[in-house]
Amino acid sequence: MKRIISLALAAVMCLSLAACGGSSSQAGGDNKLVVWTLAEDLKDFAAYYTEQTGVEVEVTVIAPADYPTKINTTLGSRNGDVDVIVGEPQMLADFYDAGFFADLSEFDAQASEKLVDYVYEAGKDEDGVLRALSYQVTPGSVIYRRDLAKEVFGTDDPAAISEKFSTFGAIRQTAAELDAAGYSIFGDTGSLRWFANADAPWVQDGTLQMTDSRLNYLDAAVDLYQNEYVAFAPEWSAAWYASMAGSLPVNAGWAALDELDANAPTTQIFSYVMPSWGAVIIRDNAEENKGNFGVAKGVCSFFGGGTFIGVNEFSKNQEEAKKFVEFCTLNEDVAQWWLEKSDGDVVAIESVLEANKDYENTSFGNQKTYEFFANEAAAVDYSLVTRYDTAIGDAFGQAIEAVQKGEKDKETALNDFYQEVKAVYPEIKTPID
Amino acid sequence: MRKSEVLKTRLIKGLLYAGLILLALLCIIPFWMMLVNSTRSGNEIMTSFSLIPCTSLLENWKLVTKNLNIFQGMLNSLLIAVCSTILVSYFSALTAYGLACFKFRGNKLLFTVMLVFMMVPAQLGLLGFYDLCNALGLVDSYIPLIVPAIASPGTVFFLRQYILSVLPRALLEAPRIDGASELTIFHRIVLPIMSPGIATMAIGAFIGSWNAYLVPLVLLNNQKLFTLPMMIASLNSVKDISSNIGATYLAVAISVMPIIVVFCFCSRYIISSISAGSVKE
Repeated sequence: MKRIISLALAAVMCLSLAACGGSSSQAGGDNKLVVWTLAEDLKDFAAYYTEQTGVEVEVTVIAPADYPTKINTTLGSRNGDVDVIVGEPQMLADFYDAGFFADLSEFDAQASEKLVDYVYEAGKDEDGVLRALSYQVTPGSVIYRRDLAKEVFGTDDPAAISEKFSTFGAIRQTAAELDAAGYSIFGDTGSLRWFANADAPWVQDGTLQMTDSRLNYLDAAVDLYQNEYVAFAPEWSAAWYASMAGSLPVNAGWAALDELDANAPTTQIFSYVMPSWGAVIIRDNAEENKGNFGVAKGVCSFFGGGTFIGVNEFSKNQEEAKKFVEFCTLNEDVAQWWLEKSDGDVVAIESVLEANKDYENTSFGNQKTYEFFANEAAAVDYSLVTRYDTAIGDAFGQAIEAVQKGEKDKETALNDFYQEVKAVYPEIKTPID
Repeated sequence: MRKSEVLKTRLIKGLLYAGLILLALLCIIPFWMMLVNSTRSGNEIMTSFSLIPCTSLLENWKLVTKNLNIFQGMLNSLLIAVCSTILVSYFSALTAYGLACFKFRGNKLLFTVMLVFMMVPAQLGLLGFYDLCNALGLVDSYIPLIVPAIASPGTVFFLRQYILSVLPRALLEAPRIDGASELTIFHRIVLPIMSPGIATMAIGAFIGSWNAYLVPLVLLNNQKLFTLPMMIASLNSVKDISSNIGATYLAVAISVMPIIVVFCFCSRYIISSISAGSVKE
């Protein structure tokens, strides 16, 4: 027994020493870049970078949900093992505050000239210092079914459809028309959330902005829900995916209500409100509906997600890391390469978008999607985005849900919403103060 | 009369069996669905429900192997889990034996301190633990994932209670009279007697280490050193989520296999240790 145990212990020692030895030798290579990312994209970029420059790049992909934990813990201890770090827009403000992203001011002039405005703005911290850049833009759109549009509205022209989605009032009207024809305007009312920042940021000068547009958003959501104009298939649900390829059964709970309308046991979803990466998801799940979609403008231009790249403040290899960031985000040839390689990603360099604007996308009824997305991205007003958007937007979404389901009346729900904002951010003034 | 009684017991038995089978199905179906889903494409999983395996196993497998080196992950996880399980078993047994069978000053106090530390969740110390590892230059190695297993108060607590119930003092006195050293007594006599209890704790330790996510996530930077749960989580970063769902199921199914194997080997011990305790008292 003793011998076995001592053997086992010796084995443990050897193995753990081996593991240790392996890692220290890896840290030794000085010219090698280490990238921590939450999107697989950078693996392709890294391979291309190595191919072009010969510099070795090691990419570690970390699950998006855990990325902030990882960064906060490791960079919180001023760890310099990683050279290039990334962030999604909603994480950036906190990362900037914590001082994790190094100053990229040397690229400021280049970035402001080459990149779509909102990307340049999102890359700057509160003091206006450039700290992160992105290779992609993720402008939003209303992705709609051309065949249904022709049937109901007599046209599938994106401009005409954009008109139908131009205000919350217009959306309510459109929803009623679609319902009369037996179709649902959205999967569920959550689609409207993208338009929450239509005219003002959530917080301005320390005050919560409850604008008319936001109240209209609430009313529209309640209207769509209570009149059953939506299909009750929430984003990412099985039914939602299925709807892209065809019809879906009306929520079983509502079947009894439909008994009057005996010939409508199923419905079809007319449109999806999503950032540009959503258009790719729809394309890939459309099956026989492929080519049957179009993209139109909604209530306001918005963007969602996107990966921003920066340099670790504590990196020992900052110069090389900056070169990598420049390569990924500011090089026109690389942008063109990525546009082709990614098959659907919209790049952030304006001149490259300009060069591709005549490309007719067969998946979207030969619409010139790059031109459309370039215009939408240019129209995004980044001053409407605040660091509070995720938390306040979620709270407002819950308030809307409560009104939709009749759990609360509008006034109580709004009051509760203000209370909640107050509880999370005591420094924000709300209308109830 | 007799016939109706027989019928009655049969009926009751039948009902009981039906109930038990239902419960067993409830336990098995999620596992079965995981296995079935690992043979279906993401689209099929999203849009429909099935208990019959489909044909996409090979595609899922290709997707898994394209995106991650699952055997490397398995090897990494296995190395960490086996090493830390060995350490946890041996040193916890040693400590528990000391606390249970030796009278020395501070014994009670030490035991109380251990109980207190049992109550503190490990996540609380994460930041400090990282700082410590960083200062010692142990980041990105397996040492901080394996060696701390030596000190696991929960296991010590369980084994101490176990020794008190299964180890008669007379068993220690005999070898002492014969002149055996204390370590020999431990290795030759105490350890074999404790082995069912140790096996029980070892299973728990192995599974805990195999499934550990947060600490490895923070400590390991190099993708080659990633453990299996980290690799599976990073599948989420691959762009097309819907096509990855089948692949994720497959990866999870593969990752569960070793646990099932370990359980098959050790379940005998768990059952015997539980029944041993109940019969003797």
